Amino acid sequence: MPDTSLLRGLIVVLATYAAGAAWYMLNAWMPATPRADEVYGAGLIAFTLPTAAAFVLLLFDTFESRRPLWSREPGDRVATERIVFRIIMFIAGLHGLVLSLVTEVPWVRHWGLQLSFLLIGGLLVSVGNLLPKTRPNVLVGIRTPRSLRSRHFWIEINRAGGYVSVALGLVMIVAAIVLGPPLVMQVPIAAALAAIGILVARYFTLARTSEQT
Amino acid sequence: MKRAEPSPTVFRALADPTRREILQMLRKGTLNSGEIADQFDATWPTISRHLAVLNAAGLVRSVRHKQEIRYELNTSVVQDLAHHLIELVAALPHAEPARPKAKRGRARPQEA
Repeated sequence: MPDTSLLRGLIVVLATYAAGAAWYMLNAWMPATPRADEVYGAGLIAFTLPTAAAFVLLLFDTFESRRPLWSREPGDRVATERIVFRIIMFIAGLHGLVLSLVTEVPWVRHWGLQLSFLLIGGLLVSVGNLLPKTRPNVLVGIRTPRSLRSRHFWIEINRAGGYVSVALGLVMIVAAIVLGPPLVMQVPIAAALAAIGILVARYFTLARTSEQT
Repeated sequence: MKRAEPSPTVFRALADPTRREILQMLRKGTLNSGEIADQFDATWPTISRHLAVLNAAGLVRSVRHKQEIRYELNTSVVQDLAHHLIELVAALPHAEPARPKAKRGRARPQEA
Protein backbone atom coordinates (compact mmCIF):
# COMPACT_ATOMS: atom_id res chain seq x y z
CA MET A 1 0.00 0.00 0.00
CA PRO A 2 1.46 3.45 -0.86
CA ASP A 3 2.60 5.71 1.95
CA THR A 4 0.07 8.45 2.68
CA SER A 5 2.38 10.87 4.51
CA LEU A 6 2.08 13.65 1.91
CA LEU A 7 -1.72 13.36 1.78
CA ARG A 8 -1.88 13.55 5.58
CA GLY A 9 0.54 16.48 5.41
CA LEU A 10 -1.83 18.28 3.04
CA ILE A 11 -4.76 17.69 5.43
CA VAL A 12 -2.71 19.10 8.33
CA VAL A 13 -1.75 22.16 6.25
CA LEU A 14 -5.42 22.80 5.43
CA ALA A 15 -6.29 22.39 9.12
CA THR A 16 -3.66 24.98 10.13
CA TYR A 17 -5.07 27.40 7.55
CA ALA A 18 -8.57 26.77 8.94
CA ALA A 19 -7.34 27.39 12.50
CA GLY A 20 -5.61 30.60 11.37
CA ALA A 21 -8.74 31.80 9.56
CA ALA A 22 -10.91 31.00 12.60
CA TRP A 23 -8.55 32.95 14.86
CA TYR A 24 -8.47 35.85 12.36
CA MET A 25 -12.27 36.14 12.38
CA LEU A 26 -12.49 35.67 16.15
CA ASN A 27 -9.85 38.36 16.65
CA ALA A 28 -11.74 40.82 14.45
CA TRP A 29 -14.93 40.15 16.42
CA MET A 30 -13.41 39.99 19.90
CA PRO A 31 -9.85 41.47 19.97
CA ALA A 32 -7.36 40.08 22.47
CA THR A 33 -5.74 42.41 25.01
CA PRO A 34 -3.07 43.67 24.61
CA ARG A 35 -3.53 43.74 20.85
CA ALA A 36 -0.82 41.48 19.50
CA ASP A 37 -2.27 41.97 16.04
CA GLU A 38 -1.53 45.71 16.23
CA VAL A 39 2.16 44.94 16.63
CA TYR A 40 2.55 42.11 14.15
CA GLY A 41 -0.60 42.26 12.04
CA ALA A 42 -3.47 39.77 12.44
CA GLY A 43 -2.99 38.35 8.95
CA LEU A 44 0.68 37.68 9.63
CA ILE A 45 -0.12 35.84 12.88
CA ALA A 46 -2.94 33.82 11.33
CA PHE A 47 -1.32 32.75 8.07
CA THR A 48 2.51 32.86 8.27
CA LEU A 49 3.04 29.40 9.76
CA PRO A 50 0.34 27.66 7.63
CA THR A 51 2.03 29.17 4.58
CA ALA A 52 5.40 27.91 5.83
CA ALA A 53 3.90 24.40 6.19
CA ALA A 54 2.40 24.59 2.69
CA PHE A 55 5.75 25.79 1.36
CA VAL A 56 7.59 22.80 2.92
CA LEU A 57 5.09 20.39 1.36
CA LEU A 58 5.22 22.08 -2.04
CA LEU A 59 9.01 22.37 -2.01
CA PHE A 60 9.45 18.67 -1.25
CA ASP A 61 6.99 17.53 -3.89
CA THR A 62 8.44 19.85 -6.55
CA PHE A 63 12.05 18.92 -5.88
CA GLU A 64 11.44 15.21 -5.60
CA SER A 65 9.34 14.96 -8.75
CA ARG A 66 11.62 17.16 -10.90
CA ARG A 67 15.01 16.04 -9.61
CA PRO A 68 14.89 12.26 -9.41
CA LEU A 69 18.70 12.29 -9.47
CA TRP A 70 19.01 11.06 -5.89
CA SER A 71 15.94 8.82 -5.83
CA ARG A 72 17.49 5.81 -7.44
CA GLU A 73 15.36 3.17 -5.73
CA PRO A 74 11.55 3.09 -5.53
CA GLY A 75 11.52 2.97 -1.70
CA ASP A 76 14.01 5.84 -1.24
CA ARG A 77 11.29 8.47 -0.79
CA VAL A 78 9.30 6.79 1.99
CA ALA A 79 11.39 7.90 5.00
CA THR A 80 11.82 11.40 3.54
CA GLU A 81 8.05 11.76 3.07
CA ARG A 82 7.47 10.68 6.67
CA ILE A 83 9.99 13.24 7.89
CA VAL A 84 8.31 15.98 5.84
CA PHE A 85 5.00 15.01 7.48
CA ARG A 86 6.59 15.32 10.93
CA ILE A 87 8.00 18.76 10.07
CA ILE A 88 4.51 19.86 8.98
CA MET A 89 3.05 18.50 12.23
CA PHE A 90 5.68 20.51 14.14
CA ILE A 91 4.75 23.71 12.29
CA ALA A 92 1.07 23.01 12.99
CA GLY A 93 1.87 22.58 16.69
CA LEU A 94 3.87 25.80 16.71
CA HIS A 95 0.96 27.57 15.01
CA GLY A 96 -1.40 26.35 17.71
CA LEU A 97 1.02 27.56 20.38
CA VAL A 98 1.36 31.01 18.79
CA LEU A 99 -2.42 31.40 18.42
CA SER A 100 -2.92 30.35 22.05
CA LEU A 101 -0.24 32.81 23.21
CA VAL A 102 -1.70 35.81 21.35
CA THR A 103 -5.19 34.87 22.53
CA GLU A 104 -3.80 35.02 26.07
CA VAL A 105 -4.76 31.50 27.10
CA PRO A 106 -3.53 31.64 30.75
CA TRP A 107 -1.81 28.25 31.18
CA VAL A 108 -0.21 28.47 27.73
CA ARG A 109 1.16 31.89 28.61
CA HIS A 110 2.67 30.44 31.78
CA TRP A 111 4.08 27.29 30.17
CA GLY A 112 4.87 28.77 26.73
CA LEU A 113 8.65 28.30 26.94
CA GLN A 114 8.35 24.71 28.19
CA LEU A 115 5.73 23.88 25.54
CA SER A 116 7.93 25.22 22.74
CA PHE A 117 10.86 23.10 23.98
CA LEU A 118 8.55 20.08 24.17
CA LEU A 119 7.58 20.68 20.54
CA ILE A 120 11.20 21.06 19.39
CA GLY A 121 12.22 18.00 21.42
CA GLY A 122 9.39 15.97 19.91
CA LEU A 123 10.44 17.02 16.41
CA LEU A 124 14.08 16.09 17.04
CA VAL A 125 13.13 12.66 18.43
CA SER A 126 10.69 11.78 15.65
CA VAL A 127 12.87 13.09 12.80
CA GLY A 128 16.07 11.67 14.31
CA ASN A 129 14.44 8.26 14.64
CA LEU A 130 13.78 8.15 10.89
CA LEU A 131 17.03 9.78 9.77
CA PRO A 132 18.94 6.45 9.36
CA LYS A 133 16.19 5.27 6.97
CA THR A 134 16.70 8.18 4.57
CA ARG A 135 18.70 7.84 1.39
CA PRO A 136 20.45 10.62 -0.57
CA ASN A 137 17.81 13.24 -1.35
CA VAL A 138 17.47 16.96 -1.97
CA LEU A 139 15.83 18.11 1.27
CA VAL A 140 16.27 16.01 4.40
CA GLY A 141 19.39 14.67 6.09
CA ILE A 142 23.06 15.49 6.44
CA ARG A 143 23.87 16.59 2.92
CA THR A 144 27.53 17.16 2.14
CA PRO A 145 29.42 16.51 -1.11
CA ARG A 146 30.85 13.35 0.46
CA SER A 147 27.52 11.98 1.72
CA LEU A 148 25.84 12.68 -1.63
CA ARG A 149 28.65 10.91 -3.47
CA SER A 150 28.57 7.71 -1.40
CA ARG A 151 25.34 5.97 -0.45
CA HIS A 152 27.10 4.01 2.30
CA PHE A 153 28.59 7.17 3.80
CA TRP A 154 25.14 8.81 3.69
CA ILE A 155 23.61 5.91 5.63
CA GLU A 156 26.43 5.92 8.20
CA ILE A 157 26.50 9.66 8.90
CA ASN A 158 22.72 9.95 8.97
CA ARG A 159 22.57 7.03 11.39
CA ALA A 160 24.97 8.95 13.67
CA GLY A 161 22.89 12.10 13.12
CA GLY A 162 19.73 10.19 14.05
CA TYR A 163 21.21 9.01 17.34
CA VAL A 164 22.44 12.51 18.21
CA SER A 165 19.10 14.06 17.26
CA VAL A 166 17.08 11.58 19.36
CA ALA A 167 19.37 12.11 22.36
CA LEU A 168 19.16 15.89 22.05
CA GLY A 169 15.37 15.72 21.66
CA LEU A 170 15.07 13.61 24.81
CA VAL A 171 17.25 16.09 26.74
CA MET A 172 14.95 18.91 25.59
CA ILE A 173 11.79 17.02 26.56
CA VAL A 174 13.15 16.12 30.00
CA ALA A 175 14.40 19.71 30.51
CA ALA A 176 10.99 21.08 29.50
CA ILE A 177 9.19 18.79 31.96
CA VAL A 178 11.60 18.96 34.90
CA LEU A 179 13.36 22.34 34.71
CA GLY A 180 12.05 25.87 34.91
CA PRO A 181 13.52 29.05 33.40
CA PRO A 182 16.37 29.83 32.88
CA LEU A 183 17.71 26.22 33.06
CA VAL A 184 15.09 25.06 30.55
CA MET A 185 16.97 27.14 27.95
CA GLN A 186 20.54 26.71 29.15
CA VAL A 187 20.58 22.91 29.39
CA PRO A 188 19.27 22.28 25.81
CA ILE A 189 21.66 24.90 24.38
CA ALA A 190 24.62 23.20 26.10
CA ALA A 191 23.34 19.81 24.90
CA ALA A 192 22.94 21.15 21.34
CA LEU A 193 26.53 22.42 21.30
CA ALA A 194 27.77 19.05 22.59
CA ALA A 195 25.62 17.25 19.96
CA ILE A 196 27.10 19.34 17.13
CA GLY A 197 30.62 18.61 18.42
CA ILE A 198 29.94 14.85 18.58
CA LEU A 199 28.44 14.84 15.09
CA VAL A 200 31.33 16.78 13.54
CA ALA A 201 33.84 14.43 15.21
CA ARG A 202 31.89 11.41 13.95
CA TYR A 203 31.77 12.87 10.45
CA PHE A 204 35.52 13.21 10.20
CA THR A 205 36.12 9.77 11.76
CA LEU A 206 33.80 8.17 9.19
CA ALA A 207 35.41 10.18 6.38
CA ARG A 208 38.86 8.98 7.41
CA THR A 209 37.65 5.37 7.63
CA SER A 210 36.00 5.51 4.21
CA GLU A 211 39.18 6.99 2.67
CA GLN A 212 41.24 4.12 4.07
CA THR A 213 38.93 1.40 2.73
CA MET B 1 -1.37 1.30 6.37
CA LYS B 2 2.14 0.03 7.02
CA ARG B 3 3.60 1.29 10.27
CA ALA B 4 7.13 2.64 10.55
CA GLU B 5 7.73 1.94 14.21
CA PRO B 6 8.29 -1.37 15.96
CA SER B 7 5.41 -3.67 15.23
CA PRO B 8 4.99 -7.37 15.98
CA THR B 9 6.67 -8.05 12.60
CA VAL B 10 9.78 -6.14 13.69
CA PHE B 11 10.03 -7.96 17.01
CA ARG B 12 9.39 -11.30 15.33
CA ALA B 13 12.20 -10.53 12.91
CA LEU B 14 14.53 -9.51 15.75
CA ALA B 15 13.71 -12.60 17.82
CA ASP B 16 15.87 -14.88 15.67
CA PRO B 17 19.65 -14.88 16.42
CA THR B 18 20.58 -15.50 12.76
CA ARG B 19 18.59 -12.49 11.65
CA ARG B 20 20.18 -10.36 14.35
CA GLU B 21 23.58 -11.57 13.16
CA ILE B 22 22.68 -10.56 9.60
CA LEU B 23 21.75 -7.06 10.80
CA GLN B 24 25.07 -6.84 12.61
CA MET B 25 26.92 -7.82 9.42
CA LEU B 26 25.07 -5.22 7.37
CA ARG B 27 26.32 -2.45 9.67
CA LYS B 28 29.68 -2.70 7.89
CA GLY B 29 28.14 -2.15 4.45
CA THR B 30 25.93 -3.69 1.80
CA LEU B 31 26.16 -7.41 1.04
CA ASN B 32 24.48 -9.79 -1.38
CA SER B 33 22.70 -12.92 -0.19
CA GLY B 34 25.62 -15.15 -1.23
CA GLU B 35 28.11 -13.14 0.83
CA ILE B 36 25.77 -13.31 3.81
CA ALA B 37 25.17 -17.06 3.39
CA ASP B 38 28.95 -17.66 3.32
CA GLN B 39 29.16 -16.47 6.92
CA PHE B 40 26.69 -19.10 8.19
CA ASP B 41 26.41 -22.87 8.24
CA ALA B 42 22.86 -22.59 6.97
CA THR B 43 21.99 -23.10 3.31
CA TRP B 44 21.47 -20.21 0.90
CA PRO B 45 17.63 -20.71 0.71
CA THR B 46 17.44 -20.51 4.52
CA ILE B 47 19.38 -17.24 4.54
CA SER B 48 17.18 -15.96 1.72
CA ARG B 49 14.11 -16.69 3.84
CA HIS B 50 15.67 -14.80 6.77
CA LEU B 51 16.40 -11.87 4.46
CA ALA B 52 12.80 -11.92 3.23
CA VAL B 53 11.56 -11.69 6.84
CA LEU B 54 13.91 -8.78 7.56
CA ASN B 55 12.84 -7.09 4.33
CA ALA B 56 9.15 -7.49 5.19
CA ALA B 57 9.78 -5.95 8.62
CA GLY B 58 11.52 -2.98 6.97
CA LEU B 59 14.80 -3.66 8.78
CA VAL B 60 16.79 -4.22 5.58
CA ARG B 61 16.31 -3.05 2.03
CA SER B 62 17.20 -4.81 -1.18
CA VAL B 63 18.88 -2.56 -3.72
CA ARG B 64 19.63 -3.53 -7.30
CA HIS B 65 23.31 -2.89 -8.05
CA LYS B 66 24.22 -3.70 -11.67
CA GLN B 67 23.29 -7.38 -12.08
CA GLU B 68 22.99 -8.32 -8.42
CA ILE B 69 20.68 -7.55 -5.52
CA ARG B 70 22.46 -6.19 -2.49
CA TYR B 71 21.04 -5.75 1.01
CA GLU B 72 21.53 -2.65 3.15
CA LEU B 73 20.57 -1.84 6.72
CA ASN B 74 17.32 0.12 7.05
CA THR B 75 16.66 0.33 10.78
CA SER B 76 15.43 3.42 12.61
CA VAL B 77 17.04 4.55 15.87
CA VAL B 78 14.29 2.90 17.97
CA GLN B 79 14.61 -0.35 16.00
CA ASP B 80 18.39 -0.20 16.49
CA LEU B 81 17.91 0.22 20.24
CA ALA B 82 15.43 -2.69 20.29
CA HIS B 83 18.01 -4.79 18.43
CA HIS B 84 20.75 -3.94 20.94
CA LEU B 85 18.41 -4.56 23.87
CA ILE B 86 17.40 -8.01 22.59
CA GLU B 87 21.09 -8.84 21.96
CA LEU B 88 21.87 -7.80 25.53
CA VAL B 89 19.07 -9.92 27.01
CA ALA B 90 20.03 -12.90 24.83
CA ALA B 91 23.64 -12.64 26.02
CA LEU B 92 22.63 -12.96 29.68
CA PRO B 93 23.83 -16.26 31.18
CA HIS B 94 20.38 -17.45 32.21
CA ALA B 95 18.77 -16.62 28.87
CA GLU B 96 17.67 -19.83 27.20
CA PRO B 97 15.38 -20.37 24.27
CA ALA B 98 11.76 -20.78 25.31
CA ARG B 99 10.58 -24.35 25.48
CA PRO B 100 7.04 -25.63 25.56
CA LYS B 101 5.95 -26.23 29.12
CA ALA B 102 5.27 -29.77 30.24
CA LYS B 103 1.61 -30.50 30.95
CA ARG B 104 0.73 -30.25 34.60
CA GLY B 105 -1.48 -32.60 36.55
CA ARG B 106 -1.43 -36.27 37.33
CA ALA B 107 -1.05 -38.86 34.67
CA ARG B 108 -4.11 -40.95 34.07
CA PRO B 109 -4.04 -44.21 35.95
CA GLN B 110 -3.56 -47.02 33.56
CA GLU B 111 -6.47 -49.30 33.08
CA ALA B 112 -6.08 -52.78 34.42
